[in-house]
Amino acid sequence: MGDERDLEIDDLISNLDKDYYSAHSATNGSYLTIQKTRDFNSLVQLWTHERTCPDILPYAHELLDTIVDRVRGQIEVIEEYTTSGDSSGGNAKLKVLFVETELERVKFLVRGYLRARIHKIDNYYMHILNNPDVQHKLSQSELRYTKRRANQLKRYYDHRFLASLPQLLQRLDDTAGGLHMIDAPDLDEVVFIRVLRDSPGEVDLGNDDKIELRKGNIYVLPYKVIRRYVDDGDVQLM
Amino acid sequence: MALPLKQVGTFMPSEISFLAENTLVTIIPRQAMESVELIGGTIPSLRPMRRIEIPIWVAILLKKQSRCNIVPPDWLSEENLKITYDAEAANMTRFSANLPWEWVEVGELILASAPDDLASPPHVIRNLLRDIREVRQAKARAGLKNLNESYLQLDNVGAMELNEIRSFVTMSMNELRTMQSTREGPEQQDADVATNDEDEDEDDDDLLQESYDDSMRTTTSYPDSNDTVRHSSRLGSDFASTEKERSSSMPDSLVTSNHHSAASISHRSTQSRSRSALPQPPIYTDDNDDEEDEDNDMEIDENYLNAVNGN
Repeated sequence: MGDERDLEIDDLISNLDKDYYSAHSATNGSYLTIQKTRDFNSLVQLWTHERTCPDILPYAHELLDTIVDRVRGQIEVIEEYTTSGDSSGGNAKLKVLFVETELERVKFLVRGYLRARIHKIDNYYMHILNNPDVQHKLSQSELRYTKRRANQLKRYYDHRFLASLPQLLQRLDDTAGGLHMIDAPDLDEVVFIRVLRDSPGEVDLGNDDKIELRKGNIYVLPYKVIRRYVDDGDVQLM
Repeated sequence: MALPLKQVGTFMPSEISFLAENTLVTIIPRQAMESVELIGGTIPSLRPMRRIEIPIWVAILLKKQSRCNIVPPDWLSEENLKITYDAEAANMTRFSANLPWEWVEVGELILASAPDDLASPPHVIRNLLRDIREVRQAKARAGLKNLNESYLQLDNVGAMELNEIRSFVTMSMNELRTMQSTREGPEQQDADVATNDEDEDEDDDDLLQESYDDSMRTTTSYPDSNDTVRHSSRLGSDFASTEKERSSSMPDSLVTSNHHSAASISHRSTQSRSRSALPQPPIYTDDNDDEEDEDNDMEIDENYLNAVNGN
């Protein structure tokens, strides 16, 4: 399931790039190296989406692996430079400066992505553990983290006060009696979106209210109604 | 906390600026440099006087070392900014399409890093940018009048501008939606909470309705009361039951959050300088959190102003 989602994101980005590239390819010796830039742009989008989407999105295994591999490669480049000494003068130093700066920028995005996910996992751990579907969206280490966190919290609460309450009130995941103790992502929450492609279709807002999406439009909408288009890559969360 | 409070549900101005640093800008290199392989692309080899497009962050690094001149984008010229300003001022209901998505950030970055590469004196450009920003902010504020629970259209708004109103818009729309859904299906959502005070509170409806009107008025600072009337009538008396539940289960919560946002809005309008994000109005939190939020906001604001002033 995760892979499927990755592909969709890739498609989306590739389309973005095509537009962009065709506009800029005329410039001699463009900055854009298609695949690398596409990956970087997907990473940026992944981070923005994870930060703005109320739901937990599928973990982007493939992209993260690729990026982390390249981060390792760049660290080697820097190490090579520092061990070989300053051989080729000021220009080599400048090159390393670019490599280091970009490395930090990429690391910032990766960290931000993972932190945004952990934030959601912290909030919705019970919901995750109760739904195998949601668990598929997490990476192995995220799932391990979720389970350990759930166990530790349970142990802690038991130890501090739950043990002294009547058996009936000790559950942390009670859903009976109109009380819902499990927090789940609220898909009705509004998100800011930008339409990337021309007329992907209409959005049904309910109450016979419909809006037509056009490229470049910026809307604030409940995530639920726009979700399909985000998955298809027609619109972008911001 | 995996994510600091000021990063939950919004971005910090520095993060928006970070994203804008990835946009491409044209430079004129002064010195040659071999190409550099990076994770997100390759910086092509530079030859003196040969124009080339690279990400702004690379351009800024080169500029700091006096290795290049930055060619300001067309929209950032004095002439085009004047045209944009006129267009913005001429139509107070729409944002003009003359500016790119990252215009606030890119403008600031170039003013800060390469003021000498601009064709006009930097203070002229800076003033024009500020004028445009104020006109657009006024429009954004006026647009908040039309907030409803289903959707809001904001074509041609900039990344930074969007982020500034994000917290307020998200919070208000979610709140309005909650009210709406309570109206449509009170028996499903609130049956259990409502049972407690069903009998006794019939008489309080008028009183509560009134307090609701007041809070709406302060929240959005409506100049005319028509909107208020429309809103309250649309939500109607069913709202009163929501209000009851809220006030019974969490005293002052709604009022607190409304006052909080009202304060921030009026703050924005009295000081028409660029504010960063609106404070995250805590919906059901205590006073301590409020203070913390204020602090965060002040801090961001200061940094942001420094950035604007090019310090």
